Amino acid sequence: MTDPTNDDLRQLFHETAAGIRPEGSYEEIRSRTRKVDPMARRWFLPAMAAAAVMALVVGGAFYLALDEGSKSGPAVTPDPVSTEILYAGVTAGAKAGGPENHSLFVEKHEVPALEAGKADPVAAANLAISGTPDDADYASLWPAGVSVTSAEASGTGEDRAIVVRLSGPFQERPASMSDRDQMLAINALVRTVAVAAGEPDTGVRFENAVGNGETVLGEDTLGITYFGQGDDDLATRAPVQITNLTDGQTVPPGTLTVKGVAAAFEANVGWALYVGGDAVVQSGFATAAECCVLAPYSFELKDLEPGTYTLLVHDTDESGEGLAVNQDSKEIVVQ
Amino acid sequence: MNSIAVISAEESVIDADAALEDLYAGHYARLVRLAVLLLRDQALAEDVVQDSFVAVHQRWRRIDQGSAPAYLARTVVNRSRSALRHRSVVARNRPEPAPDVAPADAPVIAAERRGEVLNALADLPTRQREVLVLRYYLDQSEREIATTLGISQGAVKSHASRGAASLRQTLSQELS
Repeated sequence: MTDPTNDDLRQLFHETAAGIRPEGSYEEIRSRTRKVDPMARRWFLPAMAAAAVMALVVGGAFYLALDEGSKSGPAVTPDPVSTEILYAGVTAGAKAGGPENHSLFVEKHEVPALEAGKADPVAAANLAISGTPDDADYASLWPAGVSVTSAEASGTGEDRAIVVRLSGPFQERPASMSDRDQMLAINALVRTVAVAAGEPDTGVRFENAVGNGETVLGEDTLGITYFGQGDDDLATRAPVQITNLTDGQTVPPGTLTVKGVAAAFEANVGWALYVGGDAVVQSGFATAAECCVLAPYSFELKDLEPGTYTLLVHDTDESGEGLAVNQDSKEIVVQ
Repeated sequence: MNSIAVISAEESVIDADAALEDLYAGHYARLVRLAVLLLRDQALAEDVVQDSFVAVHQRWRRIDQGSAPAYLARTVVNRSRSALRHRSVVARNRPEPAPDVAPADAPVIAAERRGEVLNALADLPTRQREVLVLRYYLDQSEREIATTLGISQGAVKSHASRGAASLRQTLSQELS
C-alpha cells in the first residue's frame, strides 16, 4: 500500500512497537499444547475403538436383558426445568441507537432436564433460536432453519468455555439484518446457553460442525469467546420489562401484583391498564429500586373485574428532547 | 484401520509441533507488539498471543497451513477484541491501569511517548484502532485488512480515514 501522506503515522507505530519487549517463551506455549496431546492421542483412538466395542457388547446385552422381560419399571425422566430464554422485542429507537430499536427481553420457559434440576442447554438454545415466545411482541432474530446441535462445557479456570455447534444457514448474515440485530441474536443465544448450563459467567465459543467457515451470522467468530450480558447490560437488555406475567395470562379478580425491572430516569416507572384497546381503567407510577440501571419495581392493580385487559409499563421522557419511551405490555385475562 | 488412524494423528501432531516452533520464531514478538497496540496491556497481550498459538496448534489439521501466519494474526486480532469486550464487562467503570510496557531501562521520554500513543489508540473505536494498527504496524494492504477483519474495503478506507484524523488531532505534538 503506498500511503506516503501517513508515513509519519507508520513511523510512530513502529517506534512505539519497538519499545515493547515481548516476554513468554516457546516452552510455555508447548507446555500448554502438551496438555491436550500428543500422548493423549496415542492411546485415545484405540481406546475409543475398544470402548465402542465394549459399549456395543454391553449395550447389546443390556438391550437383550430388557427385551427378555425385565421391563419392571420405566426409566425415570427428570422433571422439566425452568430457565431463561432471551428474545428480541421493540424498544425506543432513540435510546438504543437510532432506528435499530430492538433489545432483549427475558422469558421463563421449561426445557427438558439432563438430570434432576439441570436444564438441557441445547433445548434452551433451540428455543431461543426457533421457539415461540409467550409474548407476541417478542421474536427470535435468527434465520429459519438454524439449530444448535451441541453445547458442552470443558476446561477449567479461565480456559473454561461452552462450545456451541450450529447447523443450518447460520454462517451468512441475512441481508436485512442490522449490525445491532446481529449482535443481539448472538448475545441472546450466548446468554441463554450459559444460563441453562448453570454457568452464566462462562464464555461461549462457536465451532462449526461442517465446512471450514468460521462465521456466525456473518460475524467472524474465530478465536472469540463470547460472554452473555447480564441484567446490568443496558446495551442489550430492554430498559423496561414485566417479569412476573406472561402474555395472555389468566388471573383471578381482585388484586394483582405486577413485578418487573426497569432502568428509568429518576427510577420513575409509569403504567396504565387498558380495556377495549384504548380506554384507560387504571394508571399510576411506581419507583424502581435504583435509577438508571435495571432495578426491580412492583405495583398493584386493584379491584380487577372479569375482562380482558392490556397492561402497559413504560419509562418516562423527562429529557425534553423528545426521546421515545420504552415499554413492555402484557394481555391479562381476569376471570 | 485403527493403526492407520493412530499414525495419521501422530504425524499431524509432529507437523503441528514443528510448525508451532517456526511460527513462534518468526512471528511471536511481532504479534505481541500488535496485541499491545490493540490492548494497551502487555500481560494481557502476551496471554492473547499465547492462546492464539495454542488454538492454531489445536486446529492445525483444519486450517490452510500455507496461510498460517495470516490466520494467526487474524486470531490475535479477534481474541484481542474478545478480551476487550470481556474486560469491559468485568471491569466496567474501573479506571484503566497505566500502560505497563516500558522496560525499566528505557528513557523516560520514550516511555511517555509510547504511553501517549497507546492511550490515543485505546480511545479510538475498536474497528478504527484495528484498521490503523494492521495498516501502519503490520503494513497490510486494504484488501488484506478487509480479509483479516471480515469487512469491506470501503469500510477499511472509512475506518482508516476517521481513525487517522482522530489520532492526528490527539497526537499533534508527537507527530509534529
